Amino acid sequence: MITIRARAHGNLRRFFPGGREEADFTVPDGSVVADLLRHIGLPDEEVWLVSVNGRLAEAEQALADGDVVHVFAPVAGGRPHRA
Amino acid sequence: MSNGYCGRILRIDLTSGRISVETPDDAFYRAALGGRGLIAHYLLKDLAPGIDPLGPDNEFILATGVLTGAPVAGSGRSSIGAKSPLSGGYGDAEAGGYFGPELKRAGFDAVVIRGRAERPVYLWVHDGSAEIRDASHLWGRKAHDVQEAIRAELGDRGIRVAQCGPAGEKKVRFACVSNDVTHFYGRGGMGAVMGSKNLRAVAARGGAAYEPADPERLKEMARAMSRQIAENERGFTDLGTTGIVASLNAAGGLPTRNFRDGSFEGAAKIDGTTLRDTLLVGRETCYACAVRCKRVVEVKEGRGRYAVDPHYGGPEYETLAALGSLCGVDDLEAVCKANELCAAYVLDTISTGVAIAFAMESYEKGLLTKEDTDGLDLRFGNAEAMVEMVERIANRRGLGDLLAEGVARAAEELGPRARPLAMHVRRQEIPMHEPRLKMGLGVGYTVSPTGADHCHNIHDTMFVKRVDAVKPLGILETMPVDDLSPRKIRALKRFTDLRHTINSLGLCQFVGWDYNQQVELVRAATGWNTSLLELSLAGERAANLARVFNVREGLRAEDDRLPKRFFEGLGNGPIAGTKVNPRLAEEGKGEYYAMMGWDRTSGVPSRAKLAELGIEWAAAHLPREAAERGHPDRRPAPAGKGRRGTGAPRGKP
Repeated sequence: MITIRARAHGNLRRFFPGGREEADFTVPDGSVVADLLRHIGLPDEEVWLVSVNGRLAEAEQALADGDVVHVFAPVAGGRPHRA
Repeated sequence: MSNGYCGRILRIDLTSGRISVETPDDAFYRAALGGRGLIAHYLLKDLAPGIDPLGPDNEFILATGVLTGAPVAGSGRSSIGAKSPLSGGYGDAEAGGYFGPELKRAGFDAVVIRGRAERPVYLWVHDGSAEIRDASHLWGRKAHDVQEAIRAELGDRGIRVAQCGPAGEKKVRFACVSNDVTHFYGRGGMGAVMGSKNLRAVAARGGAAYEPADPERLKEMARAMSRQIAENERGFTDLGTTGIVASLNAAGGLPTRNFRDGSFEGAAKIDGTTLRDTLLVGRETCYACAVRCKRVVEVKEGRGRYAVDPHYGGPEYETLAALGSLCGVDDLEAVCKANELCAAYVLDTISTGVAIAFAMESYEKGLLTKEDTDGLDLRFGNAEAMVEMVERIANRRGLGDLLAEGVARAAEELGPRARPLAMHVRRQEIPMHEPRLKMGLGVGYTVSPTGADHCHNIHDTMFVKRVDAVKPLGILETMPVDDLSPRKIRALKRFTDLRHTINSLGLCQFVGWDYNQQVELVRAATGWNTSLLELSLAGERAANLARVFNVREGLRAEDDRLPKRFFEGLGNGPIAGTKVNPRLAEEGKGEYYAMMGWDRTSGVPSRAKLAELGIEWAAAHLPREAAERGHPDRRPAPAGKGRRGTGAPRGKP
């Protein structure tokens, strides 16, 4: 298993445990970004961008223990986009 | 006040001191709604073409909308309009806070001010009457001082004060107007117009209650929205607009170093979470709103390099980017200090940041020297120089005097090599949203009634994943950010029509009322049997009146264009090298014109569109040449019969 630190931007924290903006998630070895999002329970249509260790990442990018993942909601003018 | 409005509009002539009241009929309110709709109507009817925006013939209009002051979240908004001294065309700006609701409680939906007072004055509006009072003792003083002095003088802490600051007194072309010293009617230089009239402030107080047609329904809706805010808006309350610094930087669209770059290496030092975890001491809100998106920051005297006064609130996203990344500055204290100075002098932080970034790039390219800057090392990233330049612009000192004219005029002065560095559309500085990330927004910048604007515009990032929120407008499919096809332009057209609507109603875009709820709010407030169609048409009407105003002032389609820089590759970050295709942007503009019922080539509104919107009288304000350009198949209206002032008689809206 690997542990990933994830940070939610915009209103995505509502999908994180206790509505926190940052949390650690443990997922199986070999997991990719999409697996992590599924594990957290983040619906695809709520997520605009994902970065891993500060770089934008695709859904199929592999994760490693200790990676820092940021998930971003679509933004409107100055606020998270209200779907 | 009943059914959402007072039915009274205050007219002030500062030259003669004459005060009068107009009482437009219900049909006027239903067509205009207030705010932008009202302002566009008055400016088009009242102003002669070609007047000096900083002369006595300009009007300075404060306007509420029919929802301003309603007991629901998001109703604290009001507008200020005038011919803009920055763009030379139609100008208006909106702000939240408490001033708009208080103006209505004082008995007026709007105040229309023309002329120029001989000496500094302020206007005291209360309980259905108005008084022009001496303001000599307030002149030159910072915003908070002035507000406190007026409240003390009139003996009432509850008085709400809208004011230009020292920057408006000095006619800085992007001086703005604030209310409660922390809410800003930001764009277009409305503060310079106020200052040019020797009008330092408008103070309001009243006891009339907002009386909606269906108070029970409004209460019910207000309660439901409070629950929705508590459940879904925690992230927005926590960070306000500052939360998007990180998102836009991750996407490569955070305006950096005068729009050369889209990714800022210092972004994490100035983003919303850093602000929250370091300098934030409070969160503020507007009238009746539980969102609380406003920041309050403080640095106590002696605790940092700058003391930052919490009376002036704190920076929004636009300010963090304009005075931060756009100037290459990653010093959050300096950005907060610059924000405080802008609030104290009452300057638009967007234009101020763009002006400083322009100067920094000009300095780095050798177009400005240390002699021009009086010794200041004005390179990107110099936080102290950035803060110092805010002072100089506000006081029109040295290079600040040139920058106070806005980047377009400053570039003209500095010569042809400076022109490509001046980031503006129709002389209004570009807000902190990158067209190479959001391409439809770029087209929106060019066709906006006020010049580059991000509030009555689309943000393409809204349409990439889900479009549920905009389906009631007929926008049914997701679209990528770089799509400039007719479907994107259709989204721009329909979405911005409704933005003109909420800027007329006095409703905030940051509260999650969906379109059908907005209709419901208007029905409950006014008792009108209205619809999304009628409200959308009101927005379109406001945009058309503003367009006619601009065409009358000489606006041509070729003025509706982006700065060249956006057609060149973005310098760094995840979308480095991305550029706007100039041909697609031009086609998109023509498509927008055509969808608006304007001539596809000239951008002149057609008589048929004006007639559809019930403002056929406005066609008489189109100059003959423009009317010919717009209508090759028609003869223009015969000269002599009401080129101006036709439609309703003058003096009555």
